[in-house]
Amino acid sequence: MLRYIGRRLLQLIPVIILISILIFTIVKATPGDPVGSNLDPRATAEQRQAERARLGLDKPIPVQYWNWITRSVQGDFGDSYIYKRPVIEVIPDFIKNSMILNIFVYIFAFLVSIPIGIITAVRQYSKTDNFFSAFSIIGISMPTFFFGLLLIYFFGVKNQWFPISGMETVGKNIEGLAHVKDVLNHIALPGIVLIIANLASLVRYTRTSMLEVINQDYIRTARSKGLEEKVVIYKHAFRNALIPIITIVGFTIPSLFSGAVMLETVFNWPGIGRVLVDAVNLRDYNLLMALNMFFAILTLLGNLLADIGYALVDPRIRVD
Amino acid sequence: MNNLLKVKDLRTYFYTDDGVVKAVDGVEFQVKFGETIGIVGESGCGKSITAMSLIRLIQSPPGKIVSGNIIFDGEDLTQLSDEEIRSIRGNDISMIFQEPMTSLNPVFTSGYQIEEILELHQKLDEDQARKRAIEMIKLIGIPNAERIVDEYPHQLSGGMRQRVMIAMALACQPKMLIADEPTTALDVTIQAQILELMNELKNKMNTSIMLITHDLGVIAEMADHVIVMYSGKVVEDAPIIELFENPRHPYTIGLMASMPSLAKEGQRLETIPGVVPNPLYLPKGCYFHPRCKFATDECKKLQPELREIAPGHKSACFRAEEVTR
Repeated sequence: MLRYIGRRLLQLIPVIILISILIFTIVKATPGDPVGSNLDPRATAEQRQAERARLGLDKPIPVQYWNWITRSVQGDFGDSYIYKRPVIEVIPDFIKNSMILNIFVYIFAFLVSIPIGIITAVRQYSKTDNFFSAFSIIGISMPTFFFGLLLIYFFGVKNQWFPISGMETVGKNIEGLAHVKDVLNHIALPGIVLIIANLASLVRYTRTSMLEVINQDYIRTARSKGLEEKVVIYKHAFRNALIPIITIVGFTIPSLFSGAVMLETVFNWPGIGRVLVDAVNLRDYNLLMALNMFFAILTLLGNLLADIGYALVDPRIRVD
Repeated sequence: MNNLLKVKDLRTYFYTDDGVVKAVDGVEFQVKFGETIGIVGESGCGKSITAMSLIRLIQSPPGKIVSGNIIFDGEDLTQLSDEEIRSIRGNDISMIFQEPMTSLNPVFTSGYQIEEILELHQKLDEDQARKRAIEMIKLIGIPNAERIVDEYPHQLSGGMRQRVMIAMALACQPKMLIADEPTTALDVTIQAQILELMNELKNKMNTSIMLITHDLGVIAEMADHVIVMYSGKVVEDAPIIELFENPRHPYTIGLMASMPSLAKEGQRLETIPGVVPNPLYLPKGCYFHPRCKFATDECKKLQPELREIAPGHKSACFRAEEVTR
């Protein structure tokens, strides 16, 4: 198993290089550059040219790529043009903010949706199942910004139960447990929106996966052995249904660190989603490249983790 | 010999959106201790549902045992609580299925799947269960049992898997083994081995076997007594030799005529004309009359009862005394 993981990690290197070339090309192919926003609008052509030279944007693209990659592998991702600070200093704070929200959301979503998915599969077409089917369709179809606004209206404006904006109460400067409570309070509304959006699809996914397994012959065998229904479902069936669910868990890993742009805008959450959009709009190449590479690597690692997970639960998949 | 199992007027219906399917409709039969009883019939005649009803494995809804008694070893299985019937499943009555390729759980080792049933019913601890599982695997004629216990089903061939199923089914020395087309999915040489194994173990453990099949050849080799089913009803019930020598129902006669045999080489294989009726729209009168060459007007109007036409030989045909091969 360790050898397999090592081999897979080595295989990632060429993939990452290819991805970096691809992303770099696409980013550079976008019209416009950061020079305009960096300078005074009345700047002369000479001043523009000088700025472009300072940023190294006057060289051919392959040279620019070479400069970027040689710097990056040494840990220097350059400065963000927007924040006028090194990228490496800018990113962690925003990612941390998104992660706080996401970890809360995903733990909740998985803990709740898997049992619901199992129950709806076991009682297919029952009232419980129909209720959650309707719930899922609403959850999947409703845009997050709209649902977010609804929650703000009902629980933030009409009844002032929860704060509607930001991550902590501004100017309160509290520490310790009180601070945690304050942040949790701020998480509540955006958290509910994200949980319901994720719950809906996770419930459907678990249900489908369980239904497929429940009708298999070996489930009938398990029942004919006299096993309790609980054991039949949670041990014999769920172990098999887990295999496709692991894929979803793997795919979730990169999204743990990424941000939901719409939601962060609606709730004014200081997350990474909006930073990424700003970076695209203002052609903040260094920030954009660093973020894209970060997500690309996370996605690859997520897939690797899912593959390892398969091998752990499914003996038919041999890794060595 | 006493009766181990006595099924009386068993009716298992399925309530579907299109109507009620009477999958098993008034089935009656008995199984003696240590006897092998064969249940024969075409696909969809209710053989498997009868078997599943015995251990109450009918999916409900839509299925339901509507009426009848299943007296097994002095107890009426239809009256037991869910917990009581579970203690009988796998312990007193166990079952093996048609598809060895899919009947074992792919994520557990074959050994574990045998151990599980021993830990459940015999209250063995892990070590004892493992020892016993290895013994069982040896008993069913698999060499290097110590290795096989740790193998997953996908590492075994179809014949091996069916042997593991048999080992699992017989692990608790059940009084009755229900074998639902146990050899249909296997190739012929393996088929013979599996049947021989079942016979051998039956004699060793004095287990009764209920063998469900559509293969009269298998029945001839294995069964002491045969029940022929058609559209959810028993149409003929006779000891094996009596049935083959003196079949008294047109359907049984048709089945026998459609068996390929070397003696009839070069001739066209006989078939029973028509198809099994749709269980939602069963014909009036005898369910078999549209396909029966002996049918009279009476057969179109009335349903024949299963009646004794000779000692130990029952047939559900108005003209049972006249029809012959």
